[in-house]
Amino acid sequence: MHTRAKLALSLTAVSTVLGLMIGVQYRQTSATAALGLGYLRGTVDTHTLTELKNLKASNQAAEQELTQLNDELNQFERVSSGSDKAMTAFQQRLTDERILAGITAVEGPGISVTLSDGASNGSDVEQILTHDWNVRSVINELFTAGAEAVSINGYRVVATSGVFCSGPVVRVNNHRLGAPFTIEAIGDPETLKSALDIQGGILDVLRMQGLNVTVPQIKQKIVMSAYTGSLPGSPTYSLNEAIPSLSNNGT
Amino acid sequence: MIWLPILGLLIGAAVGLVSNWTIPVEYSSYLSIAILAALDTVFGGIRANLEKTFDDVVFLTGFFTNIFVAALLAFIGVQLGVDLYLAAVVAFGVRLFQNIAVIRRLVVTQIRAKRRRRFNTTS
Repeated sequence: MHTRAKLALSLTAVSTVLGLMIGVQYRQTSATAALGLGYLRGTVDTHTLTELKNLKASNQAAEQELTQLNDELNQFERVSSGSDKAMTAFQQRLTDERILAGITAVEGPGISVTLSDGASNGSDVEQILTHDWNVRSVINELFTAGAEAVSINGYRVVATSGVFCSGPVVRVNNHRLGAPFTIEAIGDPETLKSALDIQGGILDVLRMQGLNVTVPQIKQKIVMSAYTGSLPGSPTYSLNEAIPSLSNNGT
Repeated sequence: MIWLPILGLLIGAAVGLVSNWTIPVEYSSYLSIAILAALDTVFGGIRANLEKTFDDVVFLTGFFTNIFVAALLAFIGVQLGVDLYLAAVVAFGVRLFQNIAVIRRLVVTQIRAKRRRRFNTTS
């Protein structure tokens, strides 16, 4: 009996320690697995799966929003079909907004100016190259002066357009463009011309830098195509689909 | 009396799972080899008890010494670049299976002896 009690006691002490070690080790192993150290592949899969799920969810939300907006649009049309005056006003405003957004082709009077690299005369070559900020400042000047539509080498500049240097070229709407840059703007030609030509203005600055800048030319008719990229938040195809439905209801 | 070690095992495991104790990952292998050594000692104790050669002092000192030496061996192995860790795993693993086999045989013979005695008394 004495040895049995001793056996039980010592075995208890030993198994308690053993249990403690096993518990700690088990927790450690599961923690390591959760960290992705042990089962890296599984974790990556899980991450991708979660990402996919999130994307699907946001996609669904966006689709719902689109349906809702289309419904609203239809409602507006139904309301406006009662009075012709309100309808025309809405149509006019829609057209204006579309021109400003750059999603329709436009034509009208405006100006055109061309920037090209200057000739090296021993000075810093960096100075005489046409950089993204040169193009950008001309565009900003034009928009500030009231240009309704602007394009660079035929590519429409919209609210989401970026003009960035990437290596030897300038990217506009993800199109790679090289010098010379022909910038066209539709708007009041006289205002736009004087805005660019102002003494000490942007064109003077660029000329002083060493670039070749033409005198802004007034054109009575400039045709500009629509922006062809995708706009964030509003897929262009839905807008294009909305246009015929609008005109059908109007007539 | 026999449930006391099992209760101790459960309590220890529960404490280990609930507590916030963590050991650095690089020492994790020492703990695993210590667990192996402890398991070996526990089964060795049970075997000794069945063989009626159990000594509590030998058992307890064996338990802690085995754990300590196993971890130390693994540590030395890491320092020397020799996988002494594997040696401990193999040694303890083999002994573990041997102990379990011996325990099984002893239990079987005990049960047989008991049955024979009962058979003898009833007849």
